[in-house]
Amino acid sequence: MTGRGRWIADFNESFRNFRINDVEFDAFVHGNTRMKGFLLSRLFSFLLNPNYSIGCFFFSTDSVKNFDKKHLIKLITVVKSCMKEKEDEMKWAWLFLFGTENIEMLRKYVEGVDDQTVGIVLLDVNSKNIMHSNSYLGKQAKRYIKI
Amino acid sequence: MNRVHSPIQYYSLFKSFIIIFLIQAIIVLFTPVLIDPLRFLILALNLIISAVLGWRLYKRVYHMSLTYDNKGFTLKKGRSEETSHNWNEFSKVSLVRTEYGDFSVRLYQNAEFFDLPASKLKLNPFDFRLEVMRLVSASRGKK
Repeated sequence: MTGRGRWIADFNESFRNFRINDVEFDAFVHGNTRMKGFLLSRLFSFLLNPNYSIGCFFFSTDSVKNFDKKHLIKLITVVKSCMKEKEDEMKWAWLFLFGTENIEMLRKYVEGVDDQTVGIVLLDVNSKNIMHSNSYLGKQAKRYIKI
Repeated sequence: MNRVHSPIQYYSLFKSFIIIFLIQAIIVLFTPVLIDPLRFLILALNLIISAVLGWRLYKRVYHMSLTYDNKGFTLKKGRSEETSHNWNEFSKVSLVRTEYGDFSVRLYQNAEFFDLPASKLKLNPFDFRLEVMRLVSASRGKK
């Protein structure tokens, strides 16, 4: 994966075409907010960072014909079920939606989501605009993403 | 067609060399007083022995080799450890980064998993992951 960004967590495992039930995410990465470095960075991380398991799900909205609110709700439900299923229950999860079509409509759906457990971010691939859900995680994501 | 990856892992080779060298150094340290001119001779001898025995230790314990084809793979570590699996035994493939910065391709068999150490085998982990994904999905399709 290439690009720019700010440090959120030590992502140590990534999946491509990650399937949960009948939903296939384009990618899924997960990691921990406590990084594993050498002596000083490990100590620093142990003292200052919370020990949260976190994950990011990536989904291209163009891969589904007429992506609508029903699809979005289904994705959120799947993400939430995956958060609970993980051995070390995920504390934070982000759902990144990428798309080029119907962005205005998708923006309304995303901004209308009031679920606080998942941060939803919509990225317009053409204009490189970033839109997010109203949750704390959604708002925070905008600080970290740079495209 | 079988593909074989068996590069020399220089870090492990160096480790083997150092292990043998340190053993000899400890032996020399505890031998009674040595005459000065002999010290360099012993050091040179130690280095030669370390190179020879280090290579043998590396080959016996650390050297990794991966052989794979469309059906499955065999991962061999040293002379004794050999693991073979078919691709269709696995359902998910991921790329894992260890805390030392090495990459492995992780194959999931329900809750259990098996790691193919891509970095140690000097494979491009990103390309190798895609290749393994292709092999796993192709073999599961045949199942």
